[in-house]
Amino acid sequence: MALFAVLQTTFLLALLPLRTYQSEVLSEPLPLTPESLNVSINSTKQCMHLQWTVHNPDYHQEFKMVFQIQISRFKASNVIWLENYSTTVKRNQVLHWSWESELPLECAIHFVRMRTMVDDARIPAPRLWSNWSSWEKADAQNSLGDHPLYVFPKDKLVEEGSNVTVCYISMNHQDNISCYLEDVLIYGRQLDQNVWAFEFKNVSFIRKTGTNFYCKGQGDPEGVVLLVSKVLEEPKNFSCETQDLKTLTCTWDPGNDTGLIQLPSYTLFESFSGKKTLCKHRNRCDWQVTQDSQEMYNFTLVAENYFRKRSVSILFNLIHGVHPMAPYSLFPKSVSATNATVTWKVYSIGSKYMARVRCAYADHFWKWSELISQNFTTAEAAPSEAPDVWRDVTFVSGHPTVTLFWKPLSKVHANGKILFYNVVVENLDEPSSLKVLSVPAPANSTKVTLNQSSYQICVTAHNSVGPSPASTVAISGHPGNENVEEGRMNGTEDGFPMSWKPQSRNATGYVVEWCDSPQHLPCVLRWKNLGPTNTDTVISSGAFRPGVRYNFRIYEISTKRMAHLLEKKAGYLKELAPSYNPKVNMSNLTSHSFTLSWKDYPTESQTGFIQGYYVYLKSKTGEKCHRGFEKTFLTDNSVCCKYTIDNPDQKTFVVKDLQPESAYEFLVTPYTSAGEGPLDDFRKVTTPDEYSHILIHIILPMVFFVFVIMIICYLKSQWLKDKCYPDIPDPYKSSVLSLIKFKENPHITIMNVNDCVPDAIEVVNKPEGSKMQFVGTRKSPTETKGTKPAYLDLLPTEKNYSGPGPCICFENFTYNQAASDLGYCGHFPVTPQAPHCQLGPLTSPENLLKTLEQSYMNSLGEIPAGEANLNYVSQLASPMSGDRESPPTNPPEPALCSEYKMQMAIPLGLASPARSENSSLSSTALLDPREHCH
Amino acid sequence: MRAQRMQRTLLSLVLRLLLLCTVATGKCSGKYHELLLQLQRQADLMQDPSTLLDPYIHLQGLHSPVLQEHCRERPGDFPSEDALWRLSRQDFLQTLNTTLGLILRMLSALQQDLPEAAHQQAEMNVRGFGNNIHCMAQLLRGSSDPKAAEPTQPGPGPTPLPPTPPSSTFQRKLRNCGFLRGYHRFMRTAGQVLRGWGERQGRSRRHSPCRALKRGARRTRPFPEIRRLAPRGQPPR
Repeated sequence: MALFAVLQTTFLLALLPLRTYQSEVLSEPLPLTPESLNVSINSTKQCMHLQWTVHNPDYHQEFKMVFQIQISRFKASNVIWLENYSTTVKRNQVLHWSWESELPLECAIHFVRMRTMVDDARIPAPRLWSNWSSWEKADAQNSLGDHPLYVFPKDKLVEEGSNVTVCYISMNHQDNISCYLEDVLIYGRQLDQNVWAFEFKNVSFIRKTGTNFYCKGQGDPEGVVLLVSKVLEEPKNFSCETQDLKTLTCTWDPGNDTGLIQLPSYTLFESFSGKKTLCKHRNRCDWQVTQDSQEMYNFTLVAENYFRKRSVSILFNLIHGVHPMAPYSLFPKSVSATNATVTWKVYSIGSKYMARVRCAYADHFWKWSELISQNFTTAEAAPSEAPDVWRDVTFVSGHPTVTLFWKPLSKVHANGKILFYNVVVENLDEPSSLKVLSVPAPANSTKVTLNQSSYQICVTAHNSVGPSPASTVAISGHPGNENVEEGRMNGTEDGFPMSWKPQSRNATGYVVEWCDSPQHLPCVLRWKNLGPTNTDTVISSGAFRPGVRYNFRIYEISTKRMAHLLEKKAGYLKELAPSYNPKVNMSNLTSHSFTLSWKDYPTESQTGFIQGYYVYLKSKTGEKCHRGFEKTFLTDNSVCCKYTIDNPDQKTFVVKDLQPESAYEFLVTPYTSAGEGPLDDFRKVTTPDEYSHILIHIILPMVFFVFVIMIICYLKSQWLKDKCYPDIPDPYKSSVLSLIKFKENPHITIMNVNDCVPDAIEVVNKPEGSKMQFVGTRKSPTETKGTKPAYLDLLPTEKNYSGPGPCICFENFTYNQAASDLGYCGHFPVTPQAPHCQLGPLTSPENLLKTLEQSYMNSLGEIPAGEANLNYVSQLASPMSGDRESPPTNPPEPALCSEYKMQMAIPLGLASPARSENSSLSSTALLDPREHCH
Repeated sequence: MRAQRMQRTLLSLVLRLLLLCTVATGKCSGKYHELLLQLQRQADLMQDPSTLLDPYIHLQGLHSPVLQEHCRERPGDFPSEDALWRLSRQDFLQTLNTTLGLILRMLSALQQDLPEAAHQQAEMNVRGFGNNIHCMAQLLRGSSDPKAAEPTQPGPGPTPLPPTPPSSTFQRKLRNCGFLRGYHRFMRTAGQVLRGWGERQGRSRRHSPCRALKRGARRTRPFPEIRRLAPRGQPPR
């Protein structure tokens, strides 16, 4: 763990400079000089048009700039105009600016120059103007010919009351030039050596063909015509009426003529239907009443000319604006002395009339009498036209459910009050089956459930006299071909223009159906009947709204009145920017990436055709945008990186190359042709530490693994102990054997364990309590509790031994391999907390001694003795009591460990004598490792 | 009053119907003198500036002396007087016919720039004059003298085209003014030529002795014998 921590810290320190490098912020911009400044002149509009570019390699998105533009006349130093033009500039965008001159541009040479300054809050101050561009000359006189005299502007169109400046240019510097405005000699002011200007204020209308201004020198006169227009007046007395309920006639008083040959245009617009018509007359317009029984009309009359647009509106009820046609066939009948019956005919059937009668003497007419009036209603007649019927078929469990819709008959065709509608359903497969429904007026729909047969449905409208002609639709018992690919279209001001390809030559007509308010359920079904020769139409409705997706279905009607789906089309009257953003799910968050997905975002209910998505990413550090992203500025002037997904079907995105432990904000918004969705719902995310997941991936398994090992160890502790460190190690596996074998001492003697009877054991306590060793004897816990180490001395001891002498060092390679590696042998302290080992089968000291003796003797048999003055003593650390007087047969106490020490005696200067001396007695020696073990 | 108006209207209607009948049926008067006199009167009527030029000047505001001075006929717009006098009768009629076509096109272009009444009257005059020229040409072609159609002099040049409208409205006004002035001058000259046809009756085959003296040196062929030109009508003697 510690190692991991160290590595992590090191690595993070190494990454620190790299992160610092990536956290670059917007640097201070250099002033940008406009490039490719181009000046052109529009003589008709007296406009000077400037066009230029700004090349900015540092920014990819829009930023605000100010362009200071200077215009001089005749010479560069004569500045006549200074303007600051502020706009938002994109990289390499071509910019435009126009300036309208009071003086005709042909009258003088103009010079233009500009300089720029970045004026964006996101760009740090200071803000400096760039250098001025070089002067660009606009010289319209270059295009003049070789005439001696020119007058400008040509054919100027002005409104009455405005000001006009006219000039003349004398190319050969004539002095005797006289100028006239409508035969009146006038004087101007000299602008230049050969240029004179005349300013006319508050010009008035003189004649339709314009006001003449001309100058005359030595040659032919030159002049201009000022076309002065009177102010366009608002139409007055705007009203509409109808005589036959088929055609509306709207009239108005246009007011005074503007006086120009170009007459103002008059357009009649009706807001409920969304239709409009360009009027052929300046005081009257005809409007065709539609067949869909529209009674209310909201007309707006718009008068427009070059200068102005005027409009008036009225709300008109068709029924309230009837101007009846004059009665005809007026005949006196049954005239008696005091009674006269007069008959006449009227045009409208089933209508209420009011007759008024007044009299006068015909021979000597003087005055009319007072009027008397009487109301009456003409008799009804059967409706003259079949209702316009359409159907909507849905299949429920395989059975068609037909909803029939019909439009109410217009007053012209109803010929009275419609009382009910008859719906006759005929099963074509079973001619005897006939079903008749009577639907009372004013209902305009009914629902019929059918079975899987073919049906013919006839609908008639009835008034008190009789039925109308029948309108017939045929229904197939099976769903038609609905797998028609949906096309897209764009709406216009007039509605949705659409066209289709006929499938059959025998089509009797076409029907286009749609819902007026598709966003609201239930659908208000609309349809339009078209003749067999129509293959295109324009669907217009006052209910159409921008930002709503309308779905149109075009049917072809067969000779059997069966409708077959031809095409599907979807479109928007006008696309809008999306109103809301998809709900984005973030997943797979790592220190360098995360995944965004918005799978449930419905594109059909949007305010425009979704063309793709923008993924916005904001970072606190303002680091550079990653590959694929482009830098952009939001409305709050914050810097942001934007990625464009141009596939509307792609609804997942992986944000990569992020910095660990960094805070980001992201937003996914769709875009249509009208723009993108709202940018106000950024979500925050912080990337995790780069190594945390590594640690999680490594440390957790390790902890788990260790834990498992610990459990296994716990469960198999006895087995492990037996395998790894049994209570009594196998001497034949001791490394001392290899050492002995290496020495090959021929004089080596093997100490017989039986002969090696310890005769003395002395326990020496050393100050270091922590270094305590039990050798050859067993100490009781009370004895080992002290801090003095205990040593087992097996050699004859001399008190206060100081000189060189035999030193026996005990070493057990089995137990203390590390100690031997340190280069010295000595008494390795055994702490009182030495592991308590369970006694094995060799717990009996005698058996143990025997076994060990035999094994050891066998292993040492080949060691040559005498090469080193060594005595090898095999000593058994018996699990007996530390008291040598204690009987060896005492059973071991399980709480303490039996230890066997394989020891090597190293006689310093002495060899075999120890054998003789030690044969009878054993002595203990104090061995200080600091003094003797080197 | 009402009766008088009614009579006048009826008379006008009858005259128009007669004219239409003549045009529609294609029948021309076979009386040479009557036709010639009609042409002379029509030319006199059309040469009057008050029928077209003056209304135009008034409507366009070109009545100042400065502008009147520059409201001049441009050379080439119409055949010159000399050229007309040098033409044979057939060529003269052909030139007249061609020039009237040009005038009709110009009148059509000037519809917005002329008073409506003046424009309509001028157009009717030109069309009526053209019909009579057609009849006179037919009368002359009906003669057995093949020389009647032969030109005595080269024609007045290529068929004149309508003047190219200047780009400036002011210059266009002056240009149209000059054109209309030329139109009246041309009709005046045409009337003189036509009168010359009548003056030479019984004296000479040439239009005018005086003018013939002036231009006789250049003329290679006299006008054809009118008597021989109009076998169906009343040939001049």
